Amino acid sequence: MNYYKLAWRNIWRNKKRTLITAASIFFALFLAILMVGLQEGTYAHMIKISVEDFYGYAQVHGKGFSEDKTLTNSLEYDQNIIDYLMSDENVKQIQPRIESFALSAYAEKSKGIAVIGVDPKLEFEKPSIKKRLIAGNFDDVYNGGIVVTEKLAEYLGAELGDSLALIGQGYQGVSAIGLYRITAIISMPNPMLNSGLAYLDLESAQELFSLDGRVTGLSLSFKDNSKFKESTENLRSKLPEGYEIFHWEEEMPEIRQFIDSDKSSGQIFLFILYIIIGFGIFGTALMMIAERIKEFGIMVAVGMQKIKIVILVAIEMLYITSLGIIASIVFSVPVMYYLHINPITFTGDMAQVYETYGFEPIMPAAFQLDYFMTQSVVVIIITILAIIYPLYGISKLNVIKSLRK
Amino acid sequence: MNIIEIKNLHKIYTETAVPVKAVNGIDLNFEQGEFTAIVGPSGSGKTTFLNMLGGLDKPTEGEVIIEGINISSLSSKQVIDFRLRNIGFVFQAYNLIPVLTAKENVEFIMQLQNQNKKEREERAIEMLKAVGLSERINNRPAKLSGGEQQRVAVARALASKPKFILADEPTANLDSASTNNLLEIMQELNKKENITFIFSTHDQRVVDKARRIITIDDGKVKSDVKV
Repeated sequence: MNYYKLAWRNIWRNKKRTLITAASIFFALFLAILMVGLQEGTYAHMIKISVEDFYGYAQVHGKGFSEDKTLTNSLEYDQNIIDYLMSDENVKQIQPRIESFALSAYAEKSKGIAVIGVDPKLEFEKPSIKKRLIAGNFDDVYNGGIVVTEKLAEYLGAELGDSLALIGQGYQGVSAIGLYRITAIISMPNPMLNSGLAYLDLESAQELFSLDGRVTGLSLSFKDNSKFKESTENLRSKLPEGYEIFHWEEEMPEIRQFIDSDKSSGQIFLFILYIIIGFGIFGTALMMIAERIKEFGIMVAVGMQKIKIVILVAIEMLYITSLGIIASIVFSVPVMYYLHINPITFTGDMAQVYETYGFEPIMPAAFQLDYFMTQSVVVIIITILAIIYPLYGISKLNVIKSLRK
Repeated sequence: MNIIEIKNLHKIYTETAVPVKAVNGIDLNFEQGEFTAIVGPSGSGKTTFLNMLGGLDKPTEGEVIIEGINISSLSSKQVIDFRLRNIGFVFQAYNLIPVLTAKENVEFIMQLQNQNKKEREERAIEMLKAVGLSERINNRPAKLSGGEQQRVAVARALASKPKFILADEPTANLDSASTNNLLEIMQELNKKENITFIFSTHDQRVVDKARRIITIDDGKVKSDVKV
C-alpha cells in the first residue's frame, strides 16, 4: 500500500465532501477557462480584423505620414525599398497600399468614404477577405471595377454593375475624379468600415489620386507575426532617409489599451474566483485534518513521521484538485471548441456598444491548449498555497492532545 | 535482564492555574518477557506514565532508558523512529486505518520500516494467523467486530517485532468473550515469543492474567507485586 493508493482511498472516506470540493474547483476552473477563452478570442478577433485584414503587423510610410495622413507624405514604391524590407529575414510579404478619402456618389446620394488601393492578388486572396464577398467577384476589379462594402451600397442604393463616382483630392492638391463600376460587394465585420469603405486596384487608385508610382504605405506581414516588434525595431534602426515604420500597436494604441484595460478587469474577476477556490480548498483541508486528528496522532504514535502524514494529506488534496481540473477540462474543451466555431453574437444594446467602438458584435472563443494548461496550473498552485497552513498544523501536531480527542 | 529502566520520573502539567503532578517520582524496571498490568484509579497517572514510557510525552524530570537509550533526550523525529522500531502500541479504541484491510493495517507499520513487500505480506499473514484472523485478512475494519479489530491492532503492534508492547486499556471496549480471547492470544504470544506486554487497565480480567501488577496512585507507585 503506497501513499498514492492510501491517499486515493482516503479521499473517498467522505464522498460528499470530496465531490463538493472537486465540483467547486470544476465550476471555478470552467468559468476561468470560459472567461479567458472568450477574452483571448475577442482580442485575437479584434487584432485579426484591424491588423491582419487591414493595417498589417507593421507599415512603412513616407516620413511624416503617421502625423499627417495626406498624400503629400506618400512614398516612392520602387525596388530599392522592396529589397531593403526583404533584407529582414522575418518579413514575409509586402503589400503596397494607398489609403485616402473621397466623396462617393451614386444617383441622389453621396457619402465620404475611405478609399483603399490594393494589389488585388494579395488583398483579395486573403481567406478572411475572400469569405466576406457577398456579391460579384474580385477578378473584375482589374478592369476599372470597384469593391464596395455592403452598408455603403445599401446607403447609396447602388447595386452590382452600377457606376460609383469618386471625387476627392489627389497628390499635391490636384483634383481626383473617377467613375467606377461596382464589381463586388463585401461585408466587413467592423461596422464602421462596413458602412464606408471601397477598394480599388492599386493602379486605378494611383491614377485617381495622381500618385504615379507612389503609395501611402507598405503593409508588412511576418513569417513569425509574434515577433512584429523586434522586426519593426530592426527595420527602423537602418531605415533609409524619408521613410518611417510603425508596428500596429504604435499606430493603433487604442486597441492595445482596450485589450490591456479589459484584461485588467478580467484579472480582477479571476483573482476573486481564485480566492473563492482557495478558501474552498483551505476549508476542506482544515476539515479533513480536524476530523482525522486522532488518526494522525495514532500514526505518529506507531512510528510514522509527521512529514509523511503531511505528504499523504497533500497528495489527497492534489487528488481532489485534479479531479476538479480533469472534469473541468473534459467539459470545457468541447464547449470552448463549440464557441470557437460558433461565436456568441450580440444583439440589441450590447451589439450597439460593440458597434460604437467599431467592433463586430461577436465574441469568439480562442481555442488554445495554453490557457487550459495555464488555468489548471494556477489552480494547482492555489491548492498548494491553500494547504500550507493546514499542513503546517500537522507538522505541529501534539500527539498526546490528538490521542485524547 | 532489564529492558526498560525508569529513573525518578516526574511529569508536572503547568497549563492549569495550579500545577498538577501527574507522575511524581517513579522508579521502575521492566524485564524482557514481562506480562505486567499497571492499575490505579482514574487520574492516578497511569496513562501519563505509559505515554512517557512510549516516548509520546516528555518527562518534566527523570529518565526513561530503553536498552541503554535515554528516549527522553531524543529529538521528536528520533523518538518517532525509535517507537517505530522498538515499541508496539495497542489502544483502547483499536485505531486501525479504516481504508485499509486487516492485512494492510498490519503491513502498514512494516512499510514504514521499509521492509520489502514479500516480507511484509508474509509477516502480516503470520501475525493475523497468530491472532486467529487468517480468514479475515481482506476485511476492512468496518467489517470486523470490536474484538476482531483489537486483535488486528495486536497483530499490527507485533508485526514490527518490537521490544515491548504498550497497551492502554485494550479491553475497555470489548465484551467478555472477546476480552478472554484477546488475553489468551496475548498470553500465548508472551510465553511463546517472550514478548514484553505492559498494560494500563481497570479491567480485573486483565489484572487476573498479569504476572506483575503495579499500582499507581497520585502519580506514585503504591505497590509492585509479582504474582
